[in-house]
Amino acid sequence: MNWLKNIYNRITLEIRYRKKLKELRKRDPFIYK
Amino acid sequence: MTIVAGGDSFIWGCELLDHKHGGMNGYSRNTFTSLLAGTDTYICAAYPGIGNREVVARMINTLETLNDNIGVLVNWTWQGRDNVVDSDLDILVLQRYLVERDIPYMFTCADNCIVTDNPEIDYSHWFFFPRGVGVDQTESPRGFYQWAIENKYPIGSQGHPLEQAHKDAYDMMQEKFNELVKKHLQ
Repeated sequence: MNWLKNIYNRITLEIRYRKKLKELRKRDPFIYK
Repeated sequence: MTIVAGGDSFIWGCELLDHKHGGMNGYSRNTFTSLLAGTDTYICAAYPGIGNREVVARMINTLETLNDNIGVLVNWTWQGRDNVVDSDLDILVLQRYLVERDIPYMFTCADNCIVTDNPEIDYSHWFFFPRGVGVDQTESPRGFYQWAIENKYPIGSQGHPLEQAHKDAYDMMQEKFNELVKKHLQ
């Protein structure tokens, strides 16, 4: 079951990373898309 | 002596009256970086809309063409432009390059979200704007944009702080810039 826990942890980390990135991009009022 | 400035639209001087265009030598001479350079030769390696990775690339490309008696001032922008949660690596690349070449420098930023607890980044070479005192102001030391907006300086239609913010920023930064950069140049 360790592999399942690893995948779960990776997905959680990835979600957290993307959420932080989204928040950071929102702080930039000049962001050029 | 030559002062080389790096950053994005704030340092290019978008929306300032003397800003001409986005092409060669189209940048303003009324940004705080240019005002800090004063009568010294001033090279603007900034460009509107770029991220910190490109800031570093443009700075190093410019510095490689210069020899002695150079000072550097960089205004770091939002790291989200490079799709990363921090710009530590880019900042460290430039910091190490400058230290290795013994080029005096000062860094500042648009927004303090760029600041991390990375012990390798030498924050003693950074200028931060004083913390806000109002209820809805940033409580930690601020970046140029946060400071200008929270103090309600006039801004252009595209959102860039105008001449007065640059002039007041220049006044506040002068002492530290002289200490970190100009004092070490002839």
